[in-house]
Amino acid sequence: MSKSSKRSKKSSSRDEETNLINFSFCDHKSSFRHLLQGDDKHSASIVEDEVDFWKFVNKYESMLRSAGQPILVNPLRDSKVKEGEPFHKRKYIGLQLERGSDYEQLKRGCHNSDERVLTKLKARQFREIILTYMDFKQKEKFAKIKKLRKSQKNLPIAAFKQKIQEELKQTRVLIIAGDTGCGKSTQVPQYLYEFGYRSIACTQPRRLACVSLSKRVAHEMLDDYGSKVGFQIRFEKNKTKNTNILFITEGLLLRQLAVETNLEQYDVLILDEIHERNLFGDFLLGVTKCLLHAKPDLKLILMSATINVELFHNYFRNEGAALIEVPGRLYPIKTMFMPPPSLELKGGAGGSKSVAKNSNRLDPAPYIQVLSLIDQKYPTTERGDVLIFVSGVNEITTVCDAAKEYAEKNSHWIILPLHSGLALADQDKVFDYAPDGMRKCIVSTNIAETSLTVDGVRFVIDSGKVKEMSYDASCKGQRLKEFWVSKSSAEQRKGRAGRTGPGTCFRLFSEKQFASFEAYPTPEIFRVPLETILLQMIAMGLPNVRSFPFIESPEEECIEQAIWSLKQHNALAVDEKITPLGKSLSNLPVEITIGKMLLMGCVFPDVEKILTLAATMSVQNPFTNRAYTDRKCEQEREALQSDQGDIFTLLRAYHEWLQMKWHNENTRKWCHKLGIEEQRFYEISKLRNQFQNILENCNMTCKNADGTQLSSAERARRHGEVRQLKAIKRKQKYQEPRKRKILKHNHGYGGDGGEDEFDDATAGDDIRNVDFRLQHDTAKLEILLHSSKADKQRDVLLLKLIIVSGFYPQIAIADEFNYCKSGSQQFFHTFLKPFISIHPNSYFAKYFDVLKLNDSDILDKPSYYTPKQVLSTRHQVLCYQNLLETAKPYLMNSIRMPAAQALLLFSYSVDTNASVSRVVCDSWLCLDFPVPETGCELLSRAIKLRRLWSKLLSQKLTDLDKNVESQSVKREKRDKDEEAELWESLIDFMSANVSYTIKRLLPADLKSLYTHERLSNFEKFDINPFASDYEITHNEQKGGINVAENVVYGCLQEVQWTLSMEAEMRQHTWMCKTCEMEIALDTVEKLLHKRSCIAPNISSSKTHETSSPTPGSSGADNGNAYYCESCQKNLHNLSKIDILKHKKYCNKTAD
Amino acid sequence: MDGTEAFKESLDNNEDVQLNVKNEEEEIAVLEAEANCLNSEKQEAKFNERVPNIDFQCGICDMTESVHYYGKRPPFLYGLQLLEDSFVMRDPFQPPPLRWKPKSEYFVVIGAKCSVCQKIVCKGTECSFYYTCTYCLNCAKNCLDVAPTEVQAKLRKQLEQDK
Ligand SMILES: [Zn+2]
Ligand SMILES: [Zn+2]
Repeated sequence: MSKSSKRSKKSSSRDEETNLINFSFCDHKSSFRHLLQGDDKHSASIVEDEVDFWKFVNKYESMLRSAGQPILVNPLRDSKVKEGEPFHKRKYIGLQLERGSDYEQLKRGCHNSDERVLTKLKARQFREIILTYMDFKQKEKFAKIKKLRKSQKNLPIAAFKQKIQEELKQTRVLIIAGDTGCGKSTQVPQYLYEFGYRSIACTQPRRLACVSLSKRVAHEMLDDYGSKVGFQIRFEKNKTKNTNILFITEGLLLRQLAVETNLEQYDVLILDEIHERNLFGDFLLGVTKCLLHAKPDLKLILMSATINVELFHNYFRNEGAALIEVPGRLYPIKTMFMPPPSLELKGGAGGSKSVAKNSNRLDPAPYIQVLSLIDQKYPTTERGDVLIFVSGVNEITTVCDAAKEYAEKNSHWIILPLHSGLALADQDKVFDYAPDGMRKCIVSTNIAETSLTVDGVRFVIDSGKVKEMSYDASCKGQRLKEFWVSKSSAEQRKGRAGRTGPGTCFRLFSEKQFASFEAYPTPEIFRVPLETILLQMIAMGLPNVRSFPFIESPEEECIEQAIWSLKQHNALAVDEKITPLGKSLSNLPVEITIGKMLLMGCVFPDVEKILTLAATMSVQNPFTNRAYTDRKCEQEREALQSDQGDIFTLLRAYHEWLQMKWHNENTRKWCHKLGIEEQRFYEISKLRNQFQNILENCNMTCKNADGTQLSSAERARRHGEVRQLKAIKRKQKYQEPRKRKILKHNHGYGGDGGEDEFDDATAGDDIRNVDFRLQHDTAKLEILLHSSKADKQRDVLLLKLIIVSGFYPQIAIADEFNYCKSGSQQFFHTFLKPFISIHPNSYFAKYFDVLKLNDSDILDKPSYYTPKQVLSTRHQVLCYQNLLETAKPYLMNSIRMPAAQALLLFSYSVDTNASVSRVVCDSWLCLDFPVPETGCELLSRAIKLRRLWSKLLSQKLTDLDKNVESQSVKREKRDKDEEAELWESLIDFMSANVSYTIKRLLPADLKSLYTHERLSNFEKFDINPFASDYEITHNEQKGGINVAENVVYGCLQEVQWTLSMEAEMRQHTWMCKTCEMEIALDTVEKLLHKRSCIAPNISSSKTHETSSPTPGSSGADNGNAYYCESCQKNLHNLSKIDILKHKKYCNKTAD
Repeated sequence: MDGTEAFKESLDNNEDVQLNVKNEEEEIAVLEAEANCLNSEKQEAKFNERVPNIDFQCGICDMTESVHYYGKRPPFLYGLQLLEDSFVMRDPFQPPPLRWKPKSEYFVVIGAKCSVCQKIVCKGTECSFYYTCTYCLNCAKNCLDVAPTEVQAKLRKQLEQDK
């Protein structure tokens, strides 16, 4: 007390002195603030953050006060800053304000100049505080950079920088093997930049990695706001001509390399994560191996984890590959094998279904036991999170449920699920920190094994299980099964415990089991269909795909099957050369089925709809698990549900979403309500634009001639909108990336945290929304809206046709006993696999009645039709997008189609008997048409439509091939007319009211199916009654004759009922409606007759009457009449066959 | 259904395929126009100015950076100047300035030459010391024994800290 009073006395004696005991600059901000501005015309602030500055002043002052130096020292004159003596603090600072220190200069810009406060002394002292602050900020920024450099230098890879540089001088192929955390993915591209390479491409298997790596590397290169580092992924590109390092997905780079001009684009290629053995990664290895020979300057760097490195080294041995092995940076990890005793018991259990079901369910108890073990052994003051690996989402739910129960009693646990089906925002939560004294427990699929790195994990609990997708070529289906992981995966999982400190890995299997694990996981190329990749290879011009240097070749049989399937799709010709269709397909960034849909749809008048449909079918299902498990979501979805197939429900949801966008409503909230991952809808929109660009670029569709012109007012509004959106985007771009937050207790599994994320306030700033709005003005949005609409029956029908055109032969037929079975017993059969269920999430699984015939649909059979099959006009088949086997085989994403029509239009081979009352499609489905002529008529229509469709398509494709830029207007008009005609007739055809039965043929039926004989009355076919410009030939294999590209007439054996039908027919004569002649002909004779009976009219028949009959006239010319001697009649308009037939009939009746 | 999950995942893996985006030039133009709204000529000049092309390497710790400027008055500095010739970088942690708008603290001083031996040193406390000018730590040890005692104390403290 005495001290301070002494000081205040002192200060009163010299009133110019600044004493922080009774003065603070913070109390006089308005008098000094102007000194924070530049002394020039801008008068802009010279500090970045004024608030931060005043905080600093406050701290600075109190520091001086508490250090017992409350009286500010005399400021140093600017001219003395370079003199060593006497000591002055300011001489530690190498900065100087531009504003001078004259009183005039010091006062300039001050609007509140209280001369008692703003003294010259205080102003100059304040300047020194500013400088102190500036110097402090400089040191901070410098330290930030230096820290970055230090952490880079500390990475294990850094020790090998020199070596990498030297090796690259010697060799063109360098393999860098190092485990996660060694820094190879972030550092090697930067090293290359330092070595002088300026166009570096680095591939990544995953899109997310491309984005996050490019951000990280840009940051380390101090180029956060520049464009040195970029990325390119399917839906996004962030790259300029100044980009030197590009992170790109494997698939994209492959496509770039397919275009020859792109070969010069890069001087070094880095293939990262090649140990993952993705399909594209493997393919890239082969392609780059070839590329090395074509491009002698190219350098290739392969990076992998230390998994099976020898395989890669050997593969590039001839190219002189060098290998650098970088040790990882892992802390010691203790391994505990803890096989749950119950697990071993269950291993042998097979038995009844209920037991099997039980053993399928994961027992969460061992996991909880480990959690409690951790609680016993480690005090919560020691940090460390838990990462649990299980095989799938069901298992995650089971463990999370149990863990949540445990966490209710032990409230320091925060439970977080992690899998790819989770909304992205929820996935992000695993990166947040647990508050002090709490632990995160992340329950994950193998997504956290290599793709996502969560720091702070100290304990790993490994189930040792993984669900893996495999491809079953025998049924063309995918199979998802649970397996033991490989040794290398188990080691990866274990390694996750030692990234930030020593850790423990609890393995819920025995050491003996571990010893029996496979060494490495199965490469993807052995687990997926090969059609897409083979087509791409052929399109790239690889001379012989069978001899492609795969690092590990798929089985020959799989390659052959894929080639065969490509031929079926007409992507390859018989000689295995690529067809125009195949070429176009290879340009499309989608599976062949979807690509085919797009191309088949190009002759569809409303292409916009097809684009939207195809995009919708190509993204991951936007409906999350929650959409099917949460009652509320189910209720919300009900209004959108379509009974035509799930894809139409999805289309409606997308349409609804677009409508909300149209009205500027909060779509995020709505998506959450329905359990929809909104990201997918944005992806649909982007993908659709991409499809449009591709098709326009290759002239498959016409550019949209900006049909809806904006009015000037609209344009002005749009202009303002765009500016606003760009401002938001700019703001967001320069915003700090999402910071890791501290988790709250209720943020965990089952908590209600996060609801607020869907508020209107945040919705406006949603960058995806901003992007969407930037890309879609009202006109474009209107097109989207229109194109996603399929509420008319006619639209639905056409879209379904397009779907089948892409997905055929993915057809399934109901089991004949479904009519009397319950929902869970509804089975379907595909050509290759019997007894498949519909996926339980599907509409058809719940409302299976729409797939059945109503009693009123069942018709009475003619007496001669004795088989037991049901006669109806309303039989249906399913066309499915995928076949997936999990616990059971499931049909995914099916639509329902009128059976006979769909089959006749799309089957690869259609075989008929002589009267076309029996038709077998693809040697599998048998259609019986017991009403005379109906089968023949339907088939004729189908052939006509099919040929017209393929003619229109091939016209487009060959024009494309010949590079016809603009078709002549006349031609275009004609095409348009034909297109319109095609679709009108298709609709008629699909709604044709024909009664038939349908039956699945079994292998035994096939033995006696075909005649294998030449057609006895071949000579009758002087014209092809089905397709006049198709040359008829014998079918040597099945018998009968080829009457169209896919149709063999008369090769099926007659059966009892067809013979009876013929007999009955013969008892009735037939009258041709055109020539009004009564005549007894069989089905095909009638068809032939109709073909030749084209132009009969009254006038012509009149002429015949006047002209004298010429008996025995050999001509079958339409104009001539034939005089039959036995019935003594003049017969008009008869072909040679008609006459022969008539003679035969006449003679018979005469007998 | 966990089946669908992995199924979706596998679909997703096949997704990363794309043709070259059409109108690449246009896209780049848009991107760049966004980054700063100058016409292309000035943009080019502006851009070159933004590329650091002076190599800096600390003679003691080897820290290597590309910087934008060497001297006392970097054009991108606002309201301030430097008391000695220094290696200065545009602040990488701030977005680039808007057109004609001065930007505060848009710089980082990386290093300078030692006033005694002319060695280039960084601003790190383990490499240099500043009092009226920059000294490399070696020269600081040798030369500053004649400096005011406060300075000697500070230097001693710094030397100790870095051990
Ligand atoms: Zn240094
Ligand atoms: Zn020196």
